Amino acid sequence: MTTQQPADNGAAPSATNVISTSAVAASATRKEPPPEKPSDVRRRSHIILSFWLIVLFLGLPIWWKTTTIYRADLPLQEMLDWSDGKACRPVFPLRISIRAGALQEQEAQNLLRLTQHALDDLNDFSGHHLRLQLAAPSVTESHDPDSVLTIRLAPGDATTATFDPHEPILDITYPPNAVPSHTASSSPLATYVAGQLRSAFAEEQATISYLLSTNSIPSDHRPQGLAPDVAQSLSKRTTRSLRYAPTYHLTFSLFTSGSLPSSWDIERAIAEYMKPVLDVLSPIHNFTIDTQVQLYATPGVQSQVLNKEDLSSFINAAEWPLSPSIGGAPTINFVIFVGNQTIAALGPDADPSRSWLIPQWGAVYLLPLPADTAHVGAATLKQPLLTFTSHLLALTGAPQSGSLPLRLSTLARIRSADLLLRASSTLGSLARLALALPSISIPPRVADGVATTIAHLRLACDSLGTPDGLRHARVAEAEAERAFFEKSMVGQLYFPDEHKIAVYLPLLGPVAVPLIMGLLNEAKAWRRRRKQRAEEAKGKKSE
Amino acid sequence: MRQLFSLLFRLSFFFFFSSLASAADYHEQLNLRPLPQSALLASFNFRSNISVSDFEKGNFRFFPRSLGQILQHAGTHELHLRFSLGRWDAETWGARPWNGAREGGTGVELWAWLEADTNEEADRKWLILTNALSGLFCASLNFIDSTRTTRPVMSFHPEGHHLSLANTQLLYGTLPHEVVCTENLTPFLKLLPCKGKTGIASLLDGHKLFDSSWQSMAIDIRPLCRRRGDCVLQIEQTIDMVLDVDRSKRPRHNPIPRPPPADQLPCDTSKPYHSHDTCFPLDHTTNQDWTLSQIFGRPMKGTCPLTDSKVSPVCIQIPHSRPVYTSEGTKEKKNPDRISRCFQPDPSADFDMALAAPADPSDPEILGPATPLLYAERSFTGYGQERGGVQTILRNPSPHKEVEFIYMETLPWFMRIYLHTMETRIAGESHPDKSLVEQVYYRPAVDRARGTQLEVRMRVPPASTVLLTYDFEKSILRYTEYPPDANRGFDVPAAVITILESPKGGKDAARQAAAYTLRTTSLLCSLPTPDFSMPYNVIIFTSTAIALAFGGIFNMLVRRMVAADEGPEPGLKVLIGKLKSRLGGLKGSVYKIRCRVAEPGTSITPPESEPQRPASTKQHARRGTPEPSQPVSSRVEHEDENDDLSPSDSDSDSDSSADPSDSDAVDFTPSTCIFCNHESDSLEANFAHMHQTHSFLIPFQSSLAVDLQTILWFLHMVIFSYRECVCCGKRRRTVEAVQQHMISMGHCRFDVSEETKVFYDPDLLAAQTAHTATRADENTLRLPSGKVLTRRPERMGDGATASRSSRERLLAGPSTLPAGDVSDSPDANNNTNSNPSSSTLSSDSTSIQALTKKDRRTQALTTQLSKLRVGDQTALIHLSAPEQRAVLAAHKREVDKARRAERRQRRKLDDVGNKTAVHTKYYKQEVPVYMGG
Repeated sequence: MTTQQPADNGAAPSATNVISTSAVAASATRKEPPPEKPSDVRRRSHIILSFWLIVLFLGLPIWWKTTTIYRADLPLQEMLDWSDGKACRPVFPLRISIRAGALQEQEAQNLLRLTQHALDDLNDFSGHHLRLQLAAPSVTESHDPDSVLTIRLAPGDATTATFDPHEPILDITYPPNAVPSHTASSSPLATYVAGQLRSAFAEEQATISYLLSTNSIPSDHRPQGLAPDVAQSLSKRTTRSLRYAPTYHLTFSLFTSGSLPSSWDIERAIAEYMKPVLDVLSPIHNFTIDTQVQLYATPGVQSQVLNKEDLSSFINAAEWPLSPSIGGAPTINFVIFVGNQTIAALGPDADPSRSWLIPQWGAVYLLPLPADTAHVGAATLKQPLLTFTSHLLALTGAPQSGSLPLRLSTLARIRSADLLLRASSTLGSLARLALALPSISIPPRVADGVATTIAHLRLACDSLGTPDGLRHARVAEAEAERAFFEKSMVGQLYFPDEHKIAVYLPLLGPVAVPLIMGLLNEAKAWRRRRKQRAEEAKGKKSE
Repeated sequence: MRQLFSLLFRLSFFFFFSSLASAADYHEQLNLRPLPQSALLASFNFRSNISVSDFEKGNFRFFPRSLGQILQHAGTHELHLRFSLGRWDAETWGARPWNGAREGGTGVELWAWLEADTNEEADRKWLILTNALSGLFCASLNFIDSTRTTRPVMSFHPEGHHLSLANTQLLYGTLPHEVVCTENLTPFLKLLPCKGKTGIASLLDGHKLFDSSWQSMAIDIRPLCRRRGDCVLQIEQTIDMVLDVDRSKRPRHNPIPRPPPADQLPCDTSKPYHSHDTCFPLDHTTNQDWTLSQIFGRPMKGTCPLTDSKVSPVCIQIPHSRPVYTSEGTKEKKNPDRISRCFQPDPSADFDMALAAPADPSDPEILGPATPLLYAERSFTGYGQERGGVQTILRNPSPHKEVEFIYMETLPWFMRIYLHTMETRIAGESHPDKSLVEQVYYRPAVDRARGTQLEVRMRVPPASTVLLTYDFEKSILRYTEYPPDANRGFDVPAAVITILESPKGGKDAARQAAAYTLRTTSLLCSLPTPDFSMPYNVIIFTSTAIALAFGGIFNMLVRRMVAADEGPEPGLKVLIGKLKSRLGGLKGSVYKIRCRVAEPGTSITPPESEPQRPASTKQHARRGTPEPSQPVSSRVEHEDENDDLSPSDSDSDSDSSADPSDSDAVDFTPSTCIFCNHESDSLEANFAHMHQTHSFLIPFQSSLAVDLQTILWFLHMVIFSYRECVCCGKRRRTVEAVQQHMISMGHCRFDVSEETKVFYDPDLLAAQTAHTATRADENTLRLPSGKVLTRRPERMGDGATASRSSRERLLAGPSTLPAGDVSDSPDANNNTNSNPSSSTLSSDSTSIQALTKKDRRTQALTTQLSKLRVGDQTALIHLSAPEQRAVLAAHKREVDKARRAERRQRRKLDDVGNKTAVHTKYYKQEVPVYMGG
């Protein structure tokens, strides 16, 4: 044990010694790094700053620019105004000239004033306005193109009114004593004329007011008191008429279930019975015509007596080659079916008819012929073609009553109103679509189309009731449709945001983490430095 | 036979010229012709005319309005449309019907002369035409875009009479992929005035037509003029089909082919082994025996009343000797050529006709096939996804007449042909014959805009075969250009071969009518097909690569580089440390509970780390133990140091469970057995237990410099802290394993080694050794245990077994150390011995004996120091000797640890390498894995 003693003594201090060194070593393992040079600190901050600047001012804008969906500026409020009817108040100022050669200027003026009063009393729809004026005396006989209707007043035996069949002229005869005096506040002749005019324009007025009421025109412009039955018949008529097109393609088809007849004299029949109406309609529409004969065509309904339900399925759409024309023009089909089928009378008092009209498509005529007829002559085709003529007018949307020239001018006005309203509502739909779908792209073409539409709508609105109005309304409608049905608008629509994240995340995630961490560390270091500096300053101050 | 066809051709010409007499009329005729091997060719032909004035006014009667409108709208002067299916077997069936003029390649083919002044206008009208026809015929004709449209120069000639073709353009398009089927037949029949309700068209049934071996539907519209100004527009509709009579006769209610009963099996009687019980079945019946309603599925429903009653609607070409039976009311008209006859059926009754089997079964009594002017076959050559070749074999069967023709190819743009490789060679000759080609018109493809157009005017000498070959390159399509069935391949349209009327046509050839037209089959070209999930993978991959690169560069720019011990603790390490301390606490408590409930003698795993060990206990243990020598104490300190650093400083050794510094020993209790944890009452009892149970003895007890408890404490530390065997120095991962090893191997002992020598008084030890060790000779030594030691390499403790402890080996340092640096060391002296390779034990021991205790200690230290690098040595110079020792011990530990870590790392790497090798080299995965997307 004695040998241990010195070792023990020697060991104790050395052990403590070692402990102290090891403690020093342990603390030295977590020693502070040498102080950084200020230039290094500054450089690091610059690096981080420049990275962030690049990301914020170069990366983000590029990303935004390349991924953003192009949305052209649309005048949304204006478009909505148009569709709500706030932008345009459809007013049809109809000028009617009165030619009264037999009357004194003074008398004629007086009569005009009284008639205008009577008209204004009768009228309850501000949008449709009849304005009377005296025809210039220099113009004789013929119709003044600026006015809708010319009233020819001529003295006669009794008060009569007749429409000229070829020109928009109303001939009114009056007994000599019917001319109002200067002081009279009313006159039977004036009332009579006003009544005649009102009845002549009643249908047009009803149609226009119906059109306005079906569109979202504010109620103060809307005419009141449209009788329900009138409205119903009007809605029927508007649904059956085709949409407006500058050109219609007419297809006349002779269908027969057997092999006979195999030829017909359709060319002559058309020239004879249909051409006049087509000529009259030519200012509004152009027509192209083709004809065909189809043998061995079985109708869709085989029964002898056709009920109302059968009429819709009579056309055998799968078998009969009635494909529409491949040009842009809509096709109106006129089908003559050789067969002795009859149509069941719709009511007890209704006449059994041979034809029916298929809304927005055309008309069918059942023509009974002897079994061995090989050729159908023009005379046989007279009745069918006359029927088709009236169907054609119905399909184009012309009013049903009145003289033909008046009906056609009415048709032009109804069409322009219709087109105007259609274009407006299309604009409204486009505006609502743009508002409802923030992710839909709006190419510049759409904006162009909208601008053109609005410009033409404004022109049309200003010149309603004139041929110019129809032209502008036509352009406006076509442009609006094109803008609305722009193909490139729907391309990006079904690309959900989740997919974008799935594509971006693999890149942006790993890139963003070092950037953000670097920024946070730098911010922390900056705060520490600032604190340190403040302390140093304090220490200096206290010194 | 060819004469017959040309006769028919002329006959048909005669028909349509005679038909010009009435402005608008209608003609239809069915021609039946039995072909060899139970095939039947049925040619339906319908023609209707419209006067040009009626056409312009739009008054359609027999001419279909729908087609007329299209023609007017697209400004088309002449139009040819073909729908074809199947392959005409020229070897068996001979020449083609209509001299090939009424057929197309597989799929749809369309060519038309359009009125256009410029190419743009022609393209616009062509687009209108294809789109409208596509709607009319329910075919994908609208896919005939610019890449499938060509403007042939030599191959096609107008059939109609045109005043001038100056301002018209010929455009030609094919759709080889289009599958012709019933939905194309229905609009085809609707164009007919009789609508397939009566007349020969009533025989046409989609089921039979598209079940035929070959069929072609053709529509040809052309203007025909008799005189100037007296013109008609004629539409000719043709359907040619080759029916397999056997297949057509299969009853409709039983369409599935089944083997016939044995007694109904047709046998080949010409075989020599044919007998009553042996039958070689015929694959087709040679003798035609059918009725019209059998092969078309229905009888003919009267005649179309619009036709000229003088023209017979049904004709059959069969020798007059063979009888044909027809239904009642039919007028038969035998033609004077004795090989054909026509029938005029009752207009209102159903018509049927029957061809009876010939009287003599060996003579089929049908007309032999006519030899065509040329046979043509086309096929791909070459292999691989990159390049290929096309070879067309053109055979002229005529022994005397040369055939001159125009070979036209319209290839898709992705087949880029090398025109310079095009060569013609007569079969059997080795050198190409350039004289065969007379004229080449070539319009190269433009990618994605137009296809290749190649027209070759060439000739084939009599009775020879010419090979036309060229090579091409396949291009790689864009991702979106592949069809849904990309692996099916891409159809290459048929080549059109137009044989000119006379071989010596000269300059006027362009105006010649084609004498014979034939088409090769279409080809299926396979292009390299990508993995369609690729774009998504590419997005992910590039994004990841960019992100990684960016992260690395950014960190390198922004991070400050400091020494490893200068930086802040890594966040993850801190977290792990915290977690570990929590877990350790949990484990410690569990261990204590287990200790309490455990039976004596069972081994209980101590928790691997116990950072919460109270420092006072350790201190106490240390103080309670007399410290005999510095190395031990230094080792203790080192361990302490390690303990302090353990959470952060274990970079070199990630596997903390095997790291002795991480796992602290169980508190040393002198009364616990170090081998089996047996608890005794006292230290003495413990030694007794160990001696009895484990034969544990401390050698040279008398020469010990320290007390027994210290030795035991040291051994305890070796076992419990370092998990090493006290005898052989083997390492184990757990204390139990070490104990197990020692007990089972009988290593419950230790020998006096360099390490343990410090516990002994060297003088006493030397005396003792001299006493007990018996030397057999110079190089051997007998130990008290009876073992004989022979000479071993240097630094072996005298009288001790060679301890292979890694600690010792490492302490000794690498043997590559230059000897010159340590010239003052005893080892170096030893090396100067007569035997330089190894130091003798005797000399070593004598030198040891010669030194004093203190000198010995210094010597050991110097030895150790000398093994260090010069720099390290100078770094340690300022320290006192004990400190140096401590540092050296620490150094040794570190190196040891690093070695182990390296070894472990290498093992892991090897494992991974082996695995990878297994996966990549030797075994290939069978199923290709497609990534998502």
